[in-house]
Amino acid sequence: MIIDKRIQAEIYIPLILSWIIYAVTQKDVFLPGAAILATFPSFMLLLIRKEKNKESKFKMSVRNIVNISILLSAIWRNFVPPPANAVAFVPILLSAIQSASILVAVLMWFSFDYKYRSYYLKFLAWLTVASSINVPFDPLIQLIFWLFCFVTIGIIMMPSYLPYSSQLKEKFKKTKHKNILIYSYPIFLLIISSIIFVLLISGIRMGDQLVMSLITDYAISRHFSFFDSKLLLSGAGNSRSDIRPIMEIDKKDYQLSYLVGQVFDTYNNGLWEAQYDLSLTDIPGHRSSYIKTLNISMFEHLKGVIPLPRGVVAIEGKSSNYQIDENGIVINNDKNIPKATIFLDEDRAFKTVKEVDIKKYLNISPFMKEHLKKAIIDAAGDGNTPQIIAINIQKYFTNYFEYNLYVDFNADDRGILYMIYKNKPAYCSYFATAMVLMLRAQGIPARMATGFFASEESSWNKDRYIVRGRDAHAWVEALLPSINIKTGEKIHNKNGEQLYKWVRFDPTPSSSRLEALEKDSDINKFADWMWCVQKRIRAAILDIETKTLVYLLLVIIALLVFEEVLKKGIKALMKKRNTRKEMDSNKEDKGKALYLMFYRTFEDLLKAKYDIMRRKSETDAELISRLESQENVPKNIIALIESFIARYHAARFGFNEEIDLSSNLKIVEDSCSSKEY
Amino acid sequence: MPKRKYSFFMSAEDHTFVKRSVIYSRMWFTDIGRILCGIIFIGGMVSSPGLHIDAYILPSILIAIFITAFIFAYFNRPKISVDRFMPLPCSAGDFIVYDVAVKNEGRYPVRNVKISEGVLPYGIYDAPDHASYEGFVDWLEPGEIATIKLVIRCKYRDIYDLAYLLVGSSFPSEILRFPVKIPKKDKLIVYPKFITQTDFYVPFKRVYQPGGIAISSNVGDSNEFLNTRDYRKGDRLKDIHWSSYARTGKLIVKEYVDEYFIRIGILLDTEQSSLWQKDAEIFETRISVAAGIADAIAKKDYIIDLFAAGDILHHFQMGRALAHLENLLELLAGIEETKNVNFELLQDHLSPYIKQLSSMIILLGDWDKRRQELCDSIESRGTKIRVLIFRDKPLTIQPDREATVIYTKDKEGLIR
Repeated sequence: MIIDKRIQAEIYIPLILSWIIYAVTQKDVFLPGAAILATFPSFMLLLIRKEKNKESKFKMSVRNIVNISILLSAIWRNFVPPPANAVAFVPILLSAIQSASILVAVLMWFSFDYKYRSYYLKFLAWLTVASSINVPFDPLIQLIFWLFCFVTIGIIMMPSYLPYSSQLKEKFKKTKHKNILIYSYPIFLLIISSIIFVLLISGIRMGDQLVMSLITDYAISRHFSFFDSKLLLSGAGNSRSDIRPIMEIDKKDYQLSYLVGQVFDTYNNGLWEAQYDLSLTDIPGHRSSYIKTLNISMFEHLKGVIPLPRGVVAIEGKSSNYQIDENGIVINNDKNIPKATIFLDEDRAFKTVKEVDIKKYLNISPFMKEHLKKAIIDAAGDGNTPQIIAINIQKYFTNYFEYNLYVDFNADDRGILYMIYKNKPAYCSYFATAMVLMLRAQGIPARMATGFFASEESSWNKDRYIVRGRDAHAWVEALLPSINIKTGEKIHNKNGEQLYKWVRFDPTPSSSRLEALEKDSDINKFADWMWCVQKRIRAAILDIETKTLVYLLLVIIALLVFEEVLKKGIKALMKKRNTRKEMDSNKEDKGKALYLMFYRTFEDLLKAKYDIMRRKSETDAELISRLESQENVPKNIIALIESFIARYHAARFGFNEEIDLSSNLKIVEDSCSSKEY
Repeated sequence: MPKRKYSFFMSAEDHTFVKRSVIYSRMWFTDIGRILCGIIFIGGMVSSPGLHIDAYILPSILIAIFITAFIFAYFNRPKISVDRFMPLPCSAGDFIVYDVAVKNEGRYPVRNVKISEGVLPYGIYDAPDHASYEGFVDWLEPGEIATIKLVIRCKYRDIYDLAYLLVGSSFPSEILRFPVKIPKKDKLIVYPKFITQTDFYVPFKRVYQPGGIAISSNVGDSNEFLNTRDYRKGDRLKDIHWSSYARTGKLIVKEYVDEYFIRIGILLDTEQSSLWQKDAEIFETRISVAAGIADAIAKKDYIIDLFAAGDILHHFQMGRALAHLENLLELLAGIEETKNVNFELLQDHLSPYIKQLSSMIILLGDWDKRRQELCDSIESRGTKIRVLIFRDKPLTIQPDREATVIYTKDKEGLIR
């Protein structure tokens, strides 16, 4: 095969393979089939013909070829649309490019300037493949795709092993046994490329998951649905897949895991309403007597609500605007609340019945009261005190019900009854609502509290919980008489009044809740780590006092100044060292070294007085003329400088030892310092 | 061309980043390597909708191959020494074709070697598309020397430093090379582009030069006989000493003390008010015309004094064997623009020379009070002047004397 024919084959084979890939991926056999039919005879002719190929008489400019091809392809793909499983940002554009790459190749095969044809046709083969594989690979596509890759890479490397010229072939035969690289490359190419390819693919997949997780789970701005004044039962499950971190809190005990953010007292057929006009009291910054402390880091602003355990008596932190409402909810309207220490004392939450508006906590529709009777008998059992009744109802739900985030019944009174009587799985707000209604039907004041249940250990610090959007929870608070746990006696205040306390009950089956949450929201650990790190850094920065920030800034400025001074010092030191070196190297000629020292002093003087330095490769004459052009250098000084330089030259290069450079330099120095000038 | 400061609006090829990218992309990648790079980019775009389609496999394969090729190219760096053979200087706008000797200093044969100049300074450009360009060596045995041809397009006049050459082998991957920097310093002088101003008129008179002009070896114009010497090409026939010719059989000429010359000064105003390309072009025109005039006058047996007025006054003398046009062009090649010429200082610098000049050709960039004073001062000393003003916009003030105003569009023409 003569060189020309070999080149033609090297171009044509990848083209054919790329067209086949197009045919199988885009399910369009006609266009590549026509292209093969059109070009194959001419290719065969090229191979058979004995004389060298001539340039084609049919000429067309590249621009025309591309324009015509894209136009025809766009029309063609209108009739042959891309397959259903093909994906592209602009499908019509990509499909036009796919077909156009084939048409351009065919037109170029016949018409284009012979010199550039091979370059463009090689590119077009790759372009057809790169643009056509926007589909999931099936085994046939995989087979042809890998065949294309192996063949084309082989063709690219072929000149190294099978040179075009016979002279080089001979040379190659003679020397190949000496060069180990020739043999090793294809093997290593296969091994190393495969390893790198596998690593790359894994990296791309991991990167894709990471980026997608960061975008969809964290970065996309979504409204937090927590702590609105109204709560529809049906909407409570929306946060189930929200894995955005909201806060971190110290891990103490189970009781402190319930972080209350809102209390609902009015219920009406599936809709809970919270009282919004509650009076607020300032929370002190520090309390001397407390039982427990908790450290929190807030990552998100939740309408000013800080979800915290019950019994907050003081909060210490950068922000001082903490307030607490009548229901014990902590509020702070500062946008950036970074870190705080919470002081807790639950025993201070005792109230007398007078202090509490019991009526609204006993409110229940007659319909529900009537229809819940049977269920209450089943649930409360033989309980005779409010405490026992409440505990029995809680057990009823936790033992006989299952947790499910997807509820298939109405979110109203009838739906609640349906759930209770048919033992239907539901989520926290359904269970809490059902229990509140059952307690109210029994004459026990109750309300629904919402917030978060912290149960996930922070990967950053094992002694802390991380609270996410999906940890949103609802539970029941019942107003029960306070009893001394040890003696069983009721607790009274100084006036002899019976004391009551809001006691928390959680009717949600906890184990199945955690399972359901894990199932529903998959956390990409690396993306989560990245997001949490930036949140923690932000919180840490926000927590720094302004004064400290100013100090930090001053320290940075001081360091920069110090660096600059140090640099200058080192520079001056190096200059001195170089001068000394130069002087040492001229030890034999002490005079020369001395003159050099004078000259350096002169340069320093110029720098100090007029901020002028001799440029690299600037001659003394050029320096003088530059000085003359400077307005701040008096002419008399220039004359003196000129005289000094002349004397320096005479002394150093003219070997005139009688010249007193020292006094000359002193005159220059004195003149420069004199105010007259 | 003066060293241009960075401007975003200068042509793309003048941006160092573009120049560096072009040179290194040519050196790092072969033709097919560049195609594959493009395919990685296109493949990346096609696969961007997500991993549910398998389009990402193609760019991944190609990247893997490139990484492997890079590793091999690194270990297969050619051990090569190079040597440039720089030809005579060329004029701005020309291509300079020169040989580079390439020697394999390694123990193994090197194959598919590409040699290229490194990143060239502002004003000159690599020209791989030139017909004479041969930057490849297919095979080089250990110790073997091959000669290749490189081509540089010289856009602007200057004295350039060629700092290093880049050498890389695409063997065995055929897609990627690891370019090795080989420091090799050479100077490239690009003369200003000029056309000889054959029709140029200069008013002149012969001026007495006390003591003659040092170094001038031509026969003088006075009648004070000095010596005889062998005839040299260009000597006047009237100076042939016929009796000596009869005696020795070879042409002998009489030499006189050289004291009367026609000495013409060319004063070049190097002021360029802005860095805009248009102003730079006008400045270049002044230099080109100065070179053209100097060439024309040099052929007429005159002495030429070229003064380039800038921060430093460059003075150069040529003609009558004092120096050659090449030397003058070399000086002109290196002249840089000045933002603000101090014409008062220039008058002081010129004063020692003016009296000895027959006439002076002054090439100015504008006509204003400063320049007017300079011309007045020269004329007041009895030297005839001819003023040429190069401008593309109206003059600051109208000249009070005869002056030829040349607009840049006329730069290629002859000046009378």
